[in-house]
Amino acid sequence: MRDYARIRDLEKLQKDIGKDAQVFSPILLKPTPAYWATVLVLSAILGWGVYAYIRQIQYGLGVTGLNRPIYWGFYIINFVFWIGIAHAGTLISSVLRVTSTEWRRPFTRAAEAVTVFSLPFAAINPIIDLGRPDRLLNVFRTPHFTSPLLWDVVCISIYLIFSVIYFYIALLPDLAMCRDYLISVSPFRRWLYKTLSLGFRYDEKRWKKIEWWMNGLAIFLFMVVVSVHTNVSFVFLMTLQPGWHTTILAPYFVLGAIYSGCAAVIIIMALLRWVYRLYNYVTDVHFQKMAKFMIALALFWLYFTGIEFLAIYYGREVAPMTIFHAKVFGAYKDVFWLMFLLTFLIPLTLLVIPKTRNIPGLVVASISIIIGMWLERYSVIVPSEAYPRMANFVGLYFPTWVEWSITAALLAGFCLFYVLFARFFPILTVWEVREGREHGLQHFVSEMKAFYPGEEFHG
Amino acid sequence: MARYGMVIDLDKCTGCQACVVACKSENNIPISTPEESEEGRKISWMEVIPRVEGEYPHVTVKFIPRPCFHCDKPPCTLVCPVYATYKNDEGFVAQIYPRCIGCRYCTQACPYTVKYFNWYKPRWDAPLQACFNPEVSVRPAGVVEKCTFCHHRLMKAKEKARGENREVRGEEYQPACVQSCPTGAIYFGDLDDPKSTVHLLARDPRAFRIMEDLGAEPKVYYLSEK
Amino acid sequence: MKLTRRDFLKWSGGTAVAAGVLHRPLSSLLQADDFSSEWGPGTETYIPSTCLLCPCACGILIRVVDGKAVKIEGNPLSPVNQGKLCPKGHSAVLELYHPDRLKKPLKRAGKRGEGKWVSISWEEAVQTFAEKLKELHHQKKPHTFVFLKGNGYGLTTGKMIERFLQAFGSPNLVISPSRSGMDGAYWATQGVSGVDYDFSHTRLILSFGASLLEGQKSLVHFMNVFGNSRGENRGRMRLIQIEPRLSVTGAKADLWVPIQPNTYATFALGIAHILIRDGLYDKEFIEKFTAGFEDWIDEEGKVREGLKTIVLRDYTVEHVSEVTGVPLDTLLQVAYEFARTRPAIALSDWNATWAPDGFFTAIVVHSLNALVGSMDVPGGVLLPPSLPSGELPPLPPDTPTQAPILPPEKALLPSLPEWPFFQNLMENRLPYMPEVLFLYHTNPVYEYGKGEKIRKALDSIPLIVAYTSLMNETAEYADLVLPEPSVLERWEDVPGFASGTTLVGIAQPVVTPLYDTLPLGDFLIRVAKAVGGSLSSAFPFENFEEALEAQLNALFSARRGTPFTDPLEVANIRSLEERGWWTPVESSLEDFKTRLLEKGGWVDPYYPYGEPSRIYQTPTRQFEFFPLVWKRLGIPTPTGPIQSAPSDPEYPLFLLPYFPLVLWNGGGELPWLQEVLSPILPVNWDSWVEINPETAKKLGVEDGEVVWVETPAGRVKTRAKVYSGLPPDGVAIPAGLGHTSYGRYARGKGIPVAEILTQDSVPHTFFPSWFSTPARIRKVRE
Ligand SMILES: Nc1nc2c(c(=O)[nH]1)N[C@H]1C(S)=C(S)[C@@H](COP(=O)(O)OP(=O)(O)OC[C@H]3O[C@@H](n4cnc5c(=O)[nH]c(N)nc54)[C@H](O)[C@@H]3O)O[C@H]1N2
Ligand SMILES: Nc1nc2c(c(=O)[nH]1)N[C@H]1C(S)=C(S)[C@@H](COP(=O)(O)OP(=O)(O)OC[C@H]3O[C@@H](n4cnc5c(=O)[nH]c(N)nc54)[C@H](O)[C@@H]3O)O[C@H]1N2
Ligand code: SF4
Ligand code: SF4
Ligand code: SF4
Ligand code: SF4
Ligand code: SF4
Ligand SMILES: [Mo]
Repeated sequence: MRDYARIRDLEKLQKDIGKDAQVFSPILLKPTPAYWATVLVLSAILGWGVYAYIRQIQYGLGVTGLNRPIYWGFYIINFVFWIGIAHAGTLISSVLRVTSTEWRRPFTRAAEAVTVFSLPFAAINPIIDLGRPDRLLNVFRTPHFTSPLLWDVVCISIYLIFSVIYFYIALLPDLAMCRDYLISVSPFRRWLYKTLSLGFRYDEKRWKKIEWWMNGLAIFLFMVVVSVHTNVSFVFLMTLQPGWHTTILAPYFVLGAIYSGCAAVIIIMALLRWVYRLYNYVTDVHFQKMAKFMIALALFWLYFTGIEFLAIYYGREVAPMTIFHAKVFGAYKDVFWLMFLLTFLIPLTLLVIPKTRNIPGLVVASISIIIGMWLERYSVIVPSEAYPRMANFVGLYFPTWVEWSITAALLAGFCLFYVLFARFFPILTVWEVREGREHGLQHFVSEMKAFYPGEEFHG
Repeated sequence: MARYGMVIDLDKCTGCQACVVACKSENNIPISTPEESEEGRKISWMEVIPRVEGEYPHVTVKFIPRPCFHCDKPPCTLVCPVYATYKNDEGFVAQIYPRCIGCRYCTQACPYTVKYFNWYKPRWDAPLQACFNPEVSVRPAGVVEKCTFCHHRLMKAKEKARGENREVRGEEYQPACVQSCPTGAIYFGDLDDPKSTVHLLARDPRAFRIMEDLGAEPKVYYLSEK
Repeated sequence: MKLTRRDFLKWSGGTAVAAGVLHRPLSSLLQADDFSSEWGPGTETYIPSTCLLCPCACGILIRVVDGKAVKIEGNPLSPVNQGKLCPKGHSAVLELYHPDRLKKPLKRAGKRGEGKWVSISWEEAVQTFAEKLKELHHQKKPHTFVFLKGNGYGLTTGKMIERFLQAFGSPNLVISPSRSGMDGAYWATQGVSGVDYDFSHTRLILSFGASLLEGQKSLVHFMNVFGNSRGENRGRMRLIQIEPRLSVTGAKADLWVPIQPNTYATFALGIAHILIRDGLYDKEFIEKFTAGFEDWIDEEGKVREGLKTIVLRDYTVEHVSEVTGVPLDTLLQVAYEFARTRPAIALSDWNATWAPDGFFTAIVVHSLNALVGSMDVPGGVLLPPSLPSGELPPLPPDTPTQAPILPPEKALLPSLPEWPFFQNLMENRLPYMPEVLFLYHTNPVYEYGKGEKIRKALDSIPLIVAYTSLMNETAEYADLVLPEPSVLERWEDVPGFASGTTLVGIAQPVVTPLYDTLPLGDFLIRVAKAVGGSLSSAFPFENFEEALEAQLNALFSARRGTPFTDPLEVANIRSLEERGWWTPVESSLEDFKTRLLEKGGWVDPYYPYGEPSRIYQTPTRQFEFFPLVWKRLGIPTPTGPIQSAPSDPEYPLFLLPYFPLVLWNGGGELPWLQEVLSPILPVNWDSWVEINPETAKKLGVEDGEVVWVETPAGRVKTRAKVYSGLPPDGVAIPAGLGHTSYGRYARGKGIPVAEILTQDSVPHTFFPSWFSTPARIRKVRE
C-alpha cells in the first residue's frame, strides 16, 4: 500500500518537474539495512562520547591527559579543526553564488550542510574543555571584552545563526516541493514539511525576495567566514606563547580552514554521488574544478608554512627556536612530518598527476588532507605549550580514552546529523538546478555577449 | 598607594624550598598524589626552578624561586573572558575563584607558567583538613589558582592598622614564603617607598627581571649571583 | 606549680596575637566544596614551642585557630633560627594530623610481622611491660633489657631513659649513629663528645663534603648565617666545598673542588703539608695546646714520628694532587686561602666519615682547625659549657653487674653504637642475648637495608616494644606498639646549637591530644611504679611534667642566661656576663617559668673563652694529632691513602648515596616534603639514580628511563636522571625513600638505597661504610 503510494508520488513529481525528481527518491523510498546500521553505529559512538563527558563532569578534567603546561589538547585542537571544516560549505556556496558560477548549483546545499552541522560540533569543544561548564553563562554575565575568547563567542554565534538562516532560506523552495509532492510519507513528515516550509509558494515576488536575501547573506557570510577563523587564530596569537605569537597565524588558519573544509565537501559530494546514485548531477567536471582549486590551496598552504618557519628561523629567538626544533627535528617530528606528508605531499601528487586526478584520487587526497590538517592543528597547538619558557621540565601529553571518545563522538555526531538530514530533506538543491536549467543558458549567453562583443552570439 | 613587590637574591637562595612548603601550608594548597604529580597536576604556587649549566667538572647550579610575578602589565588578565583574573587597585593580580569558568586561557597567556588548574576536586585525607588556614578559601575543582602575594595577610594588617587608626607600616605585611626563608633571600615591601629595602634593591646593579623583553613588567626582581 | 593543660592555655593566652575579625572565608561562597563546614568562629593564638623533626631545635610559633594547629612559623626570639624555618618545620602540622597515626596502644595478635593487632589500654601496656621487667629482675638478668634510641626528643626525656636503665641495672643504652660521624674525631683529639662551630663569626669554611646546606645539627642557623654573610650586613663568609658530586652546598659554595671519591684525608693532609712547609700554621697555638706535632720519644725510648714529619714526607703536593685528582694550583689556592683567612673552620660529615678510612679522615680534617689555631676562638671551634641541670634524687647503688652487650673494642666511643649491635645480633655474636628490646625513635629494619636479616635476628628476642607515633618497619615486628604524642602534643626541653650559644628550647602541647597517647616519660614513670623497688624510688614524680619542671627550676637557679628575648637584650646580657654580672629579669620562679613558656626557651649567650681544661680532656690535656692518638689506641699509622677507587671491573662506578634536605632523619612520611624532594632534579614521590650525561650516553640510557642499579650487595630498579654535577664514574641515589611502612605517604615511594650499600663497619667508629660501594647500571630491557 505504502510502496504503491510512494511510487505514485514519484511519478507525479516526475511528471511535473522532470527527471530532477530522482533527487527525492532517497528521502521517499524505504531506507536500506546499511542505513540503519550506519545510524546505529554513529549513535552508539555519540552515546559513548556523552558518557565520557559525563565522567569528565563527575571527576573533573583530571580524567583527560591535560596537565600543566599542556593546558589545551584534543578539545581545542578539535575546536580549531571543526571550525575549519565548517568553513568551506558556506564559503564555497557564497563565493560561487555571488560570482554566479553555474557549476555550483547542484551541491550548494550539501556544502552548506557541512557548515551547519559541523559548527555545533566545533562550538561545543571549548565548552567541553571548560573546567566549570556550569558557569558558562558568566561569559554574558561578566563579559570581559579584551578576551579573544569572547570575540570568538560573538563571531561563532553570528556565523552559526546566519549560516543557518542562509541554509534555511535556500531550503525553503525545496521544502515546499516536499510538502506539495510527498503525500505518501508519514504524518510526522508531512507536518514537518508543512511547518518548515512556512507556506512558501512559487510566485515571482517570493523568488525575488529569496534571491535578494541569498545574495545579501552570501556577501555578509563571506566576511564572517574570514573573521571567524581569524578570531580563532587570535585566541592563540594574542598570547606570548612561542610559535603562537605571530601574525601569520591568522591567514594561515583561514587558509587551512578553507583547505580542510573543501576536502570535507569533496568527500561528502563523492559519498552522496555514490550512495544516492547522483552520477549525472555531480559529475567529473565538478571534481576536476575542485581539484584545481585544491592544488592552488595546497601551494598556498606551503607558502604560509614556509613563511612561518623562515620567520622563526631567522629570528633566532630562544623560545620560538625551541619549538621550531621540537616540531621539525625533536619530540614532535613524527607528527610534523606525517602532517606534511598528509596535508601536502600526498594530495599534491595525486592532484597534479592527471592519471590520479579522478574522483577516487580526489577522495583519497581529501581524506589525507583532513587527517593532515587535524595533525597540523595538533602540531601548532601542543608543542608550543610543551616547552615553558621558565621551567625545568618538558610537557608531555597523552590523551586518555575520554578525549579519544569525545573526539570520535564529534565526528560520529556530525555524520549522524548529516545522514539524518539527507534522509529527510533533498540533499541537492533542486530549485537551483531547475533554475539553472531554465535560466542557465540565457545567463551564459548574456555573459558571453558581455565578454565578446560581436555578431556571432546574436545568432 | 603602595606598590608591593618582591626582590629575590639568587646569591642567597640555597634551594631549600622552605618557601614552597610555607606557601602550601599558608594557602591550603591541595596535596598531590604521586600519579598527579607525575602527570603535571601538582599545584605549587611557589616553585624553585633549578638551572644546571655546564659539564663536569665545570658545572653550576642556580636556584630560582618563582612565585607569581604580579606583573604591572599582566598578559594573563587581558585574555580572561569573564573577568575572573584581574589586576586590583593595589597591583595584585588576583583570581576570582567563584567566577572562573576554567577555560585555562590565562594559564596559556602567562609567559612564566605560574598559574595552576584544579584538575580534580581537591582532597585531603582526614584529619589533615584540620590545618586549613581559615583565611584562605579552598578552591573547587575546575578553576585556576596561583600565588596571591598572601593577600589575606595584607587584609589582616590593614584591619589591624585600621583598628589602631594608622596606616599599614612598612614591613608589617610579609607573605609566608618571605617570612620563612632561612637565608633571607626574599625581600618584600613597597617598591615605590624610597625608604624600603625592596625599593633600593630593585635599583641594585645586580637587579633584573625575568624576560624583561616580554614587557610584562613583573613586580618580582631578582639579584644575580655575586 | 604544675604544668597542666589549663595553665599552658592560660600562658598561651598571654601570647595570643589579637586576630581581629576573621574574614568570612571565601570558600563558603563556593559551590562544589564541602569544606566550609570545618570553619569555626576564628579564635587565633600563637603558641611558642620547639620543632623536633630534627635535632636542630628551631624555635617555632604555632598558629592555633579554634583549637587546631593550622600553621608553623619560626620563633623570631630563638637564637637558633631567628624566625626562619626549614621545609620540615612547616610540616609539623602534617605530623600532628597524619591520617595514619597510631591511636591506641597495640598488642600483637597474630604471628610477628603478620600485622594483626588488638588495641589495649595503657594500663595493660604498662602491666605487660612491667611484668617482663620484674621477671628479668628476679632472674637477675636486668642487663638483657636493651634500649635503642634515635633522636627527636628532649633533654629530660633522654635523662629519664638513662636513669631508667641505670636504676633497673642495664648498661645497654644503644644509640643510632651520628650523621656527621665527626664525634670520633672530637673524642680522639680533644677527649670531648662534641663541639660546636662558631658559624656566625667565621670568615671561611673548608668543608670536606659536609652537607652544610642540606642537613646538619644547626641547619637553619647556618642558612641564616650564610644568607646574612651574602647580604649587605656583614663581610662574606667564604665557603669552599670539596666533594665529588656537586651537591646543593657545593652549588652555593664560593669554590667547588671536585675530588676523587674517598680521598678527603689525603687532600686534608696535602693542605697540612703546605701549611707546615710554608710555615703558615699557628706556631704559638701548636706549641701551647697540641701534642703529636713534632717527633717525640715514647716511654720505651723509641722515636715516634709526629704529624710534621709524616706530612712533610708522605703528602707532597704532587702526590696529593695525583691521588685526589685536584689540580696543583687549586690545591695551593685552597691551602693558602685557608691559611690566610682567619678565623676559618674545617669540617666534614658522613659523606667522608661513613667510609673505610672515615675515622682517619675525621681526625685529619678536624686537625686542620688546630693547625690554624681555630680552637676556642671566635669564629672557630667552640665547646659551649653544659646546660644547668636539675637535681634528681641519687640513684640507689644498684649498679649494673654485667658488661655492656657489645665487646669492649667497640666501645671507643662514649656510647654503644647501633649498627654493630645489629651486626652482632645477626651473626649471633653478642656476648648474651637481649630479652627485651625497646625501640624509641629508631627504625633499624629500614635504616640499614638489611630488613629481612634483622627481622630474622629479632625473632630470638622475646619481647620487642616500639614507641612511635607512626607504624614503621621495625614496629611492625614488635610485640607492643605504643603510640607517642606528636611533637605538638607533648612537653620537651630541647638543647639547640647556635654558634656556641648555650640554649634550650621548650616544646609544649599546643592542642588537645588527638588520640590516646602517652609521652615516653610518663610511660617510664608508670612502669617504674609498677615494677616497684629501686626503680620506683628512682622516679619520685607523679608524671613527666614534674620531672621537666625540676629541669626548668634548675635553669632559674643557675643564675645565668635568660628566657628567649630580643637580640639586643641578649647582647646586653652577654656583655654583662662577660664582666661577671647577672641580674635576674624575673623575680620569682613562677614569673620565670611563665616567661620561659611565653618566649619558647632559655639562652645563655655568654661563652667563656680560654678554659683549656674544658676544651682538651685528652690524657695529655692538649689537642692530640693523629700519630699520638694512633699510638694511644694502639692503631698502626696508615702509610698512604686507603684504596678507594673502584677496582672491580664488574662494578666500574662509584655509588654516592645522599640525603636531600627534606629526607634527612625522616621526612618521607610527610606529603609536603614528598612534593619537594629535590631542588635540582624534578622528581617527586619517587627515587632516582643520577648519572653523568656522558656515562648515560655510553650506556644508552635516556633521562627518565628505568634502570637497574647493581652492586655486590644487591640491586634496585629506579629511574635514571641525567645530572652533569656527577663525575663520569659516579652515580648518586637519594636516601630516605622506599619505605614499606611508615604511613601511606612514605609506603612504596621509591627504593631504599641502603639495601644495595656496603654495610661493613667503619673501623673504630662502627658506622656502616656506605661510601665504598661500587656499582653498575644495567638497562632493564637490553
Ligand atoms: N634538613 C635536615 N637537617 C638535619 C636533619 C634532618 O633530618 N634534616 N637531621 C639532623 C640529624 S638527625 C643529625 S644527626 C644532624 C647531623 O648533623 P651533625 O652536625 O653532623 O650532628 P652530629 O654529629 O650527628 O651531632 C652530634 C654533635 O652534636 C654536638 N654536641 C653534642 N653534645 C653537645 C653539647 O653538649 N654542646 C654542644 N654545643 N654541642 C654538642 C657535637 O658537635 C657533635 O658532633 O643533622 C640534623 N639536621
Ligand atoms: N642508614 C642510615 N641510618 C641512619 C642514618 C642514616 O643517615 N642512614 N642516620 C642516623 C642518624 S644521624 C639518625 S638521627 C638516626 C635517625 O634514625 P631514626 O631515629 O630511626 O629516624 P627516623 O627514621 O626519622 O624515625 C624513627 C622513627 O621515629 C618515629 N617517630 C617519628 N616521630 C616520632 C615521635 O614523635 N615519637 C615517637 N615515639 N616516634 C616518632 C617514626 O615512627 C620513625 O619510624 O638514624 C641514624 N641511622
Ligand atoms: S626559602 Fe629562601 S633559600 Fe629556600 S628556596 Fe626559598 S628562597 Fe631559596
Ligand atoms: S606572572 Fe603570569 S600570572 Fe602572574 S601576573 Fe604575570 S602574567 Fe599574570
Ligand atoms: S581560567 Fe578562569 S581566570 Fe583563567 S582565563 Fe579562564 S575564566 Fe579567566
Ligand atoms: S607570596 Fe604567599 S602566595 Fe605567593 S608564593 Fe609566597 S607564600 Fe605563596
Ligand atoms: S631545621 Fe630541624 S628543627 Fe629546624 S625547622 Fe627544620 S626540622 Fe625543625
Ligand atoms: Mo641524626
